[in-house]
Amino acid sequence: MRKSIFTVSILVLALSLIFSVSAAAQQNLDKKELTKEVTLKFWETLDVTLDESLLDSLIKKFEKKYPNITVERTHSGSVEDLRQNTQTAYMGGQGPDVVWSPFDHVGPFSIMGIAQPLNELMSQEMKDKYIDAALPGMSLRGETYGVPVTMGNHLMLMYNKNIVDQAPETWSELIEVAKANTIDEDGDGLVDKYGLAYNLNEPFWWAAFHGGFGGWVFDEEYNPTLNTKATVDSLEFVHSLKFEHEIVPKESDYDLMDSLFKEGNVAFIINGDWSIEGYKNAKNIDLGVAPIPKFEKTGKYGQPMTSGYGLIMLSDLPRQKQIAVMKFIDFITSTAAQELFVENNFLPSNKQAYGLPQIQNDPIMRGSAKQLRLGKPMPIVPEMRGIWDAVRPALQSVMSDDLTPEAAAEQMQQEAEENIKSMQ
Amino acid sequence: MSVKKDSKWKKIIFHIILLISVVIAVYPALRVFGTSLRPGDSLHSTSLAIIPDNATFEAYRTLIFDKGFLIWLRNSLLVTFFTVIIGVSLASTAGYVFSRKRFPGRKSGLTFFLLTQMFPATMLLLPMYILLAQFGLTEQTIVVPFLGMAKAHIGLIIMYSSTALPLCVWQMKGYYDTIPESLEEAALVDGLNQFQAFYMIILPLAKPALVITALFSFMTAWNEYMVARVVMTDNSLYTLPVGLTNLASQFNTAWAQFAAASVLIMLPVMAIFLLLSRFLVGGLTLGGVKG
Amino acid sequence: MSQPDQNLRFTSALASFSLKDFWREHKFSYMMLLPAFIVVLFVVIYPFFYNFRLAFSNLNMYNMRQFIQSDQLTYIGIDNFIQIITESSFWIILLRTVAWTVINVVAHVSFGIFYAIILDRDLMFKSIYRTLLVIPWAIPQYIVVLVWKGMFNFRYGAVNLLLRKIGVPGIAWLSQASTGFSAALIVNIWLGIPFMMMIALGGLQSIDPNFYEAAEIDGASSWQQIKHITLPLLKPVMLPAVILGVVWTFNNLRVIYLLTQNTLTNKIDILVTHVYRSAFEFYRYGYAAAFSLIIFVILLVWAISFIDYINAD
Repeated sequence: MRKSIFTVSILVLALSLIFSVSAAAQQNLDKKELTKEVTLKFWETLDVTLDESLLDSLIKKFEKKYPNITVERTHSGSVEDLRQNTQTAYMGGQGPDVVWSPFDHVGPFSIMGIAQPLNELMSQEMKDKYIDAALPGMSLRGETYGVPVTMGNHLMLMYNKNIVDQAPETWSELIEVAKANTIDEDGDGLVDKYGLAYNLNEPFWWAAFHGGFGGWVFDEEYNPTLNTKATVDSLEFVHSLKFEHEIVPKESDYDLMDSLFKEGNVAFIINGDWSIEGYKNAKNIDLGVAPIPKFEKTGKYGQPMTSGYGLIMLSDLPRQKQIAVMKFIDFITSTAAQELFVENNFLPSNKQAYGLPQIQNDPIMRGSAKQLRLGKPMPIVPEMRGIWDAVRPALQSVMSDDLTPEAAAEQMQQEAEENIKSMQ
Repeated sequence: MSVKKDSKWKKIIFHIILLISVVIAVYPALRVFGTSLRPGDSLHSTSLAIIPDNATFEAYRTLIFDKGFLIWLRNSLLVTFFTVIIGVSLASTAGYVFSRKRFPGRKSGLTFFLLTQMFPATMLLLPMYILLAQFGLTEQTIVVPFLGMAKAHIGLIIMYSSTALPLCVWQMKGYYDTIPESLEEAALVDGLNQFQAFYMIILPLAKPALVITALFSFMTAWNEYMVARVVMTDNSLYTLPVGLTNLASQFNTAWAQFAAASVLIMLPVMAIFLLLSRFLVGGLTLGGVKG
Repeated sequence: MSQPDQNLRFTSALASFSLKDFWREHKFSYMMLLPAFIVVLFVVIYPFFYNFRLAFSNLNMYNMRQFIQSDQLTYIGIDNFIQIITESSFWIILLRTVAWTVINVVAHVSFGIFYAIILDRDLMFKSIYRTLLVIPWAIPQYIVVLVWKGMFNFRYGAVNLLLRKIGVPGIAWLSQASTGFSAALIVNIWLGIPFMMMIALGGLQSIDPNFYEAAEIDGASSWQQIKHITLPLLKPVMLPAVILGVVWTFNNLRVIYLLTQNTLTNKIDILVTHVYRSAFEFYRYGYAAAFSLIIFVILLVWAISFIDYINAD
């Protein structure tokens, strides 16, 4: 009897020790008090138009709530610039404290030790704030490296209701309508109005087609899976849009597609959530948003890659700064703050925010949310770079009719494998 | 300058050639100007018209009064001014020595000045930044309050001067080479020392090369953005190129303002060129020295 | 100084070398040189040796952490260099870079001198022409290159619009490597002419007009004057510009990068665009540093031989 009491007490002691240790490991920084004055360096690459209206007003409110925190915001001209500047500055010991990043910065930043692991720093209460898809979007190898603020960054079908009144369900419908809207107005042999325009040569756009034909870029071990039927089919498809159906401009990059749509010279475009605000404000556009249509061959809708933007805390910060950053992240993802993002047509990461009327009632936001559900999260492993860089030249060659889809698929696969190997 | 007068036909042909060349040179810049007037931030337009429909100067107004354009301008002028001073003084003296004097290390010294240029700039960015950071020259703290010059600005000035020097030193040397040494010899005979001979006789004769040195130093500092954009994090310290990237975003660059800023950035360069080109084609005669 | 005098001086200097005399002789030179030297040294030595170290290592994304935390590197000897030289693409890209450089510099210098000569004559509106022709150099490159990219668009670009007006069907400039390369050449030549023009204009001022007078009297035509007086006498002033022009053009990242960004990726790369991609997209810092060293050595060897060749003339 004494022996069993002894064993049980040892067990109880051991168990309570274990629990108390793991409880201590949870640091709940978002709940801790700040004891010093802290200045946070916040680097971002949000749209210029949103910097002042969105970020600065949030920062002001934040500074009011926490009087001993000051936030210095620095803007970067592009995502690439932000990544490189953060890296360079960090290596020179002058890095920022918190960075507004697309999800895929987590890959390189976590491997290089630039991003701070957050699992143990966030309280469970804070973690429960987000929708299920959020935190995994910025986690790798079981550890969370950032907190999502906006979800999506996804492509969808957008149309000008001044030209076409509704979005088609299937691609053959779209092609028909687009053909009717590809017109040579002045009879000079050159088309003036196009049915469809999108970023023809950019892999990110092609990925939506690839997914619609059932393709995906990786297997479970992150080996490239580009040499598949889905790749060939989707390449053939985009090729036909240009050469067979002739509903897209011969050369169209992002800026041209954007300009054409804003001028009212194109009926359908495929663009992302970041462009919605600009189109809503454009004079010549009455904006409609819908999922990318179904492909007859597979019965699947277009499947764009989804990601989003979030906040990454840099590693090796002093404790007080960590607390300040955590509070900042908590604030930016609070329901009130998320409302501002929703007003700018972004889908939030905060669960509660999905109940906001803007999402429920605005047809454009509903269309965006619908498309998000049909998308698939983009892998954030650094190997994705190798994929993009292998797809791009092959896609370009197919679109200039220099390479057959079959040969292109093989080329993509080979180059992707080489690229990934070279990174190691 | 050729003393022969050209025939009328020759002149007409020259004018035609120049007119066509000017059109080619200026057209893309006009398109940039057109973008700055176009409402709605469209980089491209499908029409060839330079002046778009509903043209407006709104972008200029927002740029100058709402964005910190004037602050960026002040910072750029600051950094550029000192770069030019340093560039001109160091290049004119170093180039003189390379031209006139024979001393051990002369040839390798000249080649040394070329070395920085040969390394791809993208790989120099990181170590340059680390070096500046170690000396505290990336800090945004102001050291000269009256001018608003920060430590980071000093870092940039040093960097820009060293980037501009190679061409300037070589240029000055090449120009000095065309000035006969007999002039200094005459000056020395007249009782001037070496430095005075250089400063009072030779330097004025090298005006065209000085103009190029000044212009080139100016442009190096005025347009550099790769290092500036990493070093400058405080908005009030931005130089023009960094401010320009402030107007850019991944997909929604404020093209009208960006174009407007580009046009405005170009104007001081043109102004300085206009001012200095007087010396570039002054038509100096060296007729005072024979022999 | 004549040859016998030089020899005499040299031997007597050898015989009676003293530090004091050395200093007195060359003090002026070194003192005048010192400030410039120091400033350039600051920016040359550290970055150069930083990259030199990296070139012999395998620094990439995965071992970056140790490098940042404790400056630790794994050295792999000359593996990077071997890998670079044995890649078949290296030689193709090198060849393309050489072609790119030669065509550009020849065009820059020829047009530059051409315009300088015209603008140096007695012509109305000279200063207006001059100022306008400098615009390609004065305008910020980033936006003007993007505008050019738009001008090369198949359907809407100004270039094709013009071609169609004169009866030539539009060219899909940025869809094929060959035409894309030509487009890049056109843009870079447009960008580079004003600089050479300015240098040449300055250089023309150094030519003693008496030479022309004498030639006039001898009955030489304008073309002969240019060939025998102007061009040879421009040499000392154009030489540094040509050398640096070659170096800058060889290492010009921007034009090709911006023009091919989503049109001809990897297809008309020159050496530096390849380095940029390896370093900043694939994080192959060791590899990129080695590559940069190779570029550096190529340019150094060329510059030295070129200078020797010109001086031997």
